[in-house]
Amino acid sequence: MPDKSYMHSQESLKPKNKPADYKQFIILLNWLKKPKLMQTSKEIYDTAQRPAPLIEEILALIKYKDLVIQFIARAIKTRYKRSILGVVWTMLNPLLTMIVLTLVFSQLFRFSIKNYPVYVLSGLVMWIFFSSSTNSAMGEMLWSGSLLGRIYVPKSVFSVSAVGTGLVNLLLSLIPLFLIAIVLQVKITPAILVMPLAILLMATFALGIGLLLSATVVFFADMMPVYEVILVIWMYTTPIIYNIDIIPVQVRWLFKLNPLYYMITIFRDPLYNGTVPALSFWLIAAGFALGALILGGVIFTSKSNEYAYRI
Amino acid sequence: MPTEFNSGVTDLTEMDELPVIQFENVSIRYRVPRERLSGIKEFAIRWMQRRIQFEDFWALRHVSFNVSPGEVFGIIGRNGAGKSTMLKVMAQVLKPVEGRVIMRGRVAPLLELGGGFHPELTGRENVFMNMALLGHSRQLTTKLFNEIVDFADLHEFIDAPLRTYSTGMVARLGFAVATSVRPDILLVDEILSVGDSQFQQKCIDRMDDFRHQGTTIIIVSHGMGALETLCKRALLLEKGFVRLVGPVEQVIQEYIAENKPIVIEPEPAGPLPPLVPLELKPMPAPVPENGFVSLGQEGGIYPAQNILEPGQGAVMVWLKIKHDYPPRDAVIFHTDDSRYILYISLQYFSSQKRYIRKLIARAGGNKRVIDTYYGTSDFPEVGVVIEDVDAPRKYILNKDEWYLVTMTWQGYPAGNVCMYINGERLGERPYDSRYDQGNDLPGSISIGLRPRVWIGEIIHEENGKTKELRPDSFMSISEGGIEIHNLRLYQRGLDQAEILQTFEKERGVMLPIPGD
Repeated sequence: MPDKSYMHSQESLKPKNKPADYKQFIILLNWLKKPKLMQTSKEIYDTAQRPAPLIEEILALIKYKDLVIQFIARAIKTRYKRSILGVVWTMLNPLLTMIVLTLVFSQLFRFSIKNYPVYVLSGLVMWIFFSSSTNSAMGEMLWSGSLLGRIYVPKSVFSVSAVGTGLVNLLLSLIPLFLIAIVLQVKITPAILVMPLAILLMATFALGIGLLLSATVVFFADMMPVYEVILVIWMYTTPIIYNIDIIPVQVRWLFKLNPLYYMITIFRDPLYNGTVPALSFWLIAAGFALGALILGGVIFTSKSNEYAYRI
Repeated sequence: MPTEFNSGVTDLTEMDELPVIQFENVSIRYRVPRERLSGIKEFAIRWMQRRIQFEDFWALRHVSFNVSPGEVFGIIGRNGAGKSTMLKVMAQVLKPVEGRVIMRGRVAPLLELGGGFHPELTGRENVFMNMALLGHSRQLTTKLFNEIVDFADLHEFIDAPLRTYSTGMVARLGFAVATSVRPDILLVDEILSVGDSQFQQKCIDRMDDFRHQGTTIIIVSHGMGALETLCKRALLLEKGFVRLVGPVEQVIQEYIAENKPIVIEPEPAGPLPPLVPLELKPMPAPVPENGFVSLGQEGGIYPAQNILEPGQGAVMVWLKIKHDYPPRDAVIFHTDDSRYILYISLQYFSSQKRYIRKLIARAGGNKRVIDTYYGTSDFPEVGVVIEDVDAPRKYILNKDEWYLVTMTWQGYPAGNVCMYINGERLGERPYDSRYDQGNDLPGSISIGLRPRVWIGEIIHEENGKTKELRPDSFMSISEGGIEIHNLRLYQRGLDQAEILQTFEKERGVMLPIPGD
């Protein structure tokens, strides 16, 4: 739908003078005549009889699921509202980064990774998904303070919708990823059918970390810049632009403590190698994902009563 | 169209025996660090040093009351009495520290019309967003959408971005969304302060309609007139306590009786002695001697260059309140921008029903820090009550006796401003970077004076502009019944030992010998 708003001048938007209150009166009468939706089931809020914070939050989240959808839609709509290419940027962004990395690393350092663009791009889209989800989970929590002080909303909607937004963007960037893979004649096998599970585990992990960060940032606004630094370090200690084989054997165990190593491998291998990674990778990734979600969920909800006092 | 809010009690109360709103001994405590610790590093350091001090602020104390179904109930109180906190508890935003809250029914806050709107989204998108914020499903929103747009009368603009709307249009849309589904309990803050009168009437009509269908309405307002027409019962809050619950007329009467302007009763009885302007004497820059400068001339105005700095310093003075000191503000020492002041101010104590004198020291800031959350504002000041009343920080100054008053500061970023009387440490206030307006240092100091218009403030307005309100005139306090002696200004902060040493050394001269 063309956005007509640009054509309106401020002046023309002012409500026009109407003959007396006639129109208002009719509207009001119509309103009064209409049967109202009566709420039959009575909601009772009793501070002495509340379920455990985690359960209360999950129940509220289910009730407010449409809010999550609204937040995701808003994030995607407003992000590109005034740009010409719009949502195409979601696909172009990792692609351009990939081209730069490919030029730098495959030419300059002569990495012996075949089909380097596919290798780096598959790692990169997952990385962008994780970093942007967790970062905006924290940011949304911080910037929504004035809202939280006025009306009740389950506070985890910010983290959930941040991960949801990241997920939509990830799905969009799968399009260029597969295009590149086809162009470079990577052999696509049925192994790619397990990729959704890898994405799900990453989303679970990102939500857990996002909740944890959101709980922290309420008490320390400094967490935002600190996390940005952490993200830079995290990115370079994760085998995204390089292969873990180039890491000396003595310290390789250290790199294998990194949850993202597993998350990215189980996503990348099915496309890049055409194989399903070993079960141990899946179990470790699932362990990290669930562990992060439970830890994040418990810490976030145990502090959630205090947020309205703090923000 | 006249409203019918007061047209008799509905029979809805009989439908449901249980109160819709039930507060049982509810207390809300804000626990804030006395200093604003925004950084992890700062927090970690302070935590390790065990230097984080928390200040408890009870916004509500032992609040108990019930509201019956279908009632229109008012909440009255001064700024900071806890009205907004009460609404937040009802809106389930704040959970009580003590006590129990029961809300039987769906609560809809009408706190700020359009608070959750996004300027880049269209009116349509914002309707869906705000309905979701209120916990309504997309399905219900779709069903009610046309009604909402009808009521807001925004058909032509509903697909235009919200940033193109006028304030009135946003308010209309906000109200239409917030009241699109009849709630069981409607919370209204500062009723109808937005929109044109036609729109306001529409809002009142809709609320009236709701009430007839059994909605309970809670109204918080400063406007007594509005409350009197709309409510039957009301609650008077005072400093977080419930003072009175009852018929609205009675509550309003009590409120007005409590808050009518108090005429300062002079002590002793009789008119205040007139203030005779003191002759102002421009003085040469004082020369430091023994580590401090002496400012001796009452009414003297001294250049402040190279004397005062935000980093550190101290002002020490012997002070005597004479028996004929009228209840009146007085300044002992101040800079032309009021960034550094030692002054006596009157503060109304409702428990005493009179004004009480406070001695207040402010150092290093005249930028008022406004805490929108509590509705309070602050300077880097320490205040001590100097009369015999029940107050946490108190030091009774007997009339016609000399006292050594010292204010000392270790400034930004991590210091305090402290006050001592006769070497006894009475209070301190940590600095907060928000006080620091970063302006030029003050140009002059005067002692024994007060500005006629009590302003000395740099106000930062929302649009980024700065308004400077500097005192433009001075008048004397010498007829005001306060005597000062030997005012010294140090360029470094003093510690308690040094202050005590001076006090011990000079008390023999200044204080009457016991038994004399």
